Amino acid sequence: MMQVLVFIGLLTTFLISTAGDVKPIAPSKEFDSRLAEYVKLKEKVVSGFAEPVKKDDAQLIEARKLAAANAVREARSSARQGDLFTPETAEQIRRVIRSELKGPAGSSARKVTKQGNPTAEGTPFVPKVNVLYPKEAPLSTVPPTVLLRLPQLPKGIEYRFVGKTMILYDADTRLILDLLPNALP
Amino acid sequence: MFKKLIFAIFIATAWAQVRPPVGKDSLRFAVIGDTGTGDRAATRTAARLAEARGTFPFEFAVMMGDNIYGGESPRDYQRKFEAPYKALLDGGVKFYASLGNHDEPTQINYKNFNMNGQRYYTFRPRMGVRFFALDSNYVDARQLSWLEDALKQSGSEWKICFFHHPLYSSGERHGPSLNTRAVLEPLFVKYQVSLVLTGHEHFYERMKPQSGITYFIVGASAKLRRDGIARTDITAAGNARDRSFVLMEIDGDQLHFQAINQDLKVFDSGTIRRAVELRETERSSATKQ
Repeated sequence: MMQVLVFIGLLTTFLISTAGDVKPIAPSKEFDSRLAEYVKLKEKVVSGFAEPVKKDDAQLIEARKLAAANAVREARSSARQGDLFTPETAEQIRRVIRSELKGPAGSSARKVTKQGNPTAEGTPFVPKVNVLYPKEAPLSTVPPTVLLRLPQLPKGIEYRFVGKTMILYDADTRLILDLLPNALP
Repeated sequence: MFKKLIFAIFIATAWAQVRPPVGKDSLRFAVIGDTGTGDRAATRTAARLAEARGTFPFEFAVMMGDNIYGGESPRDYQRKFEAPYKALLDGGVKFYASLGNHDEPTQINYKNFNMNGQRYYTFRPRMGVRFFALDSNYVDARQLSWLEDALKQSGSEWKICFFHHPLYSSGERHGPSLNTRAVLEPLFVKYQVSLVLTGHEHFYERMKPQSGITYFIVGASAKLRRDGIARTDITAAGNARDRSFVLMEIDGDQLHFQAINQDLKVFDSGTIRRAVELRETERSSATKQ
């Protein structure tokens, strides 16, 4: 037991010492501008939907969310895999993930990618672009040490994992915006 | 008649076990975690919490995430939260939620969770005490930057952070979230956070102070992972046999806590001191009683 505690202590010290000086990779201008275009489109489409007056009404929240999701889906009906993840950004992201998850130092991050990951939690599904994330499936946790090195996303858009695939997830509408297969080694 | 008498004696005994607040004007709150099943066990634990309020009148409750398991339709909100906690909601108790890995981020708009549309937020229920609800599912640069600013601005208050994934844990299933610890703990230490409350593991655990901070896991308010806790050197107290919740009271520089099971039995209690200047030395005097 003592050896395990010493190992955990050393690992934590290593993680803390490396977490402080991480810098995110510079995203390609193309990736940024594609995301900005999506945000603009969503704002335009959703602007017609009024906020629920009574915010304790779960039914209104659900109805608004679905209406917004359907409107965005329709506006992006021709969306395809790779519309947001440019090949250059995709490669950068895979590289970051590989480096953060490799070896003994990456064991904690590897474990985190399984937490809430639908495949590991027994609710597997095949993610598709412009499709709603299944309600019954949990959302994966993303290792902070990975997140801190990935390009920052606009508010409301998140990186998540489904199996080994990374998805771009719109938390406001629950839509899957894009896919990056085999992001996890 | 005999059965009723036995029941009355049991209740009387149980009530005697939850201690009333120590301070006259102290701030009192409850801690619950991983509550959102809507099943019989969740309802029972919620009922015990409501009963405990008779002895220990708390103002609000903080939720450690996994607030609604599975579907999140309006009916689910009703069945998994509003119904079990009806007595407390009707009694004016406010709930402040954090998001777990089973929660949809849209819960942030649900009024009864008081998140005001934010995945992470802060609130000050009373002068000198500030809570920070974090989203440990997604600790990105934006959240870290917000947290650092918020901690910096909070001055010398009691600083209490709560979120889902435990930074320290003796759980055999999940264990500590080392990756999250690597980015959060330095801020907690730097800005003198006194107390960190988490869930995720379906049991109760209180750690010996780590870098001067006391960590709790309160993740068995509905689900229970029996015997899912290992014995490690960091555990001050643990309970993986009972469903549980915790009552806390801040009285000046002291925080008194009582961990209570589904039979209203106090199985762990103690006092934590807020001592802003004492980062170098042990500043928790939490003791198992």
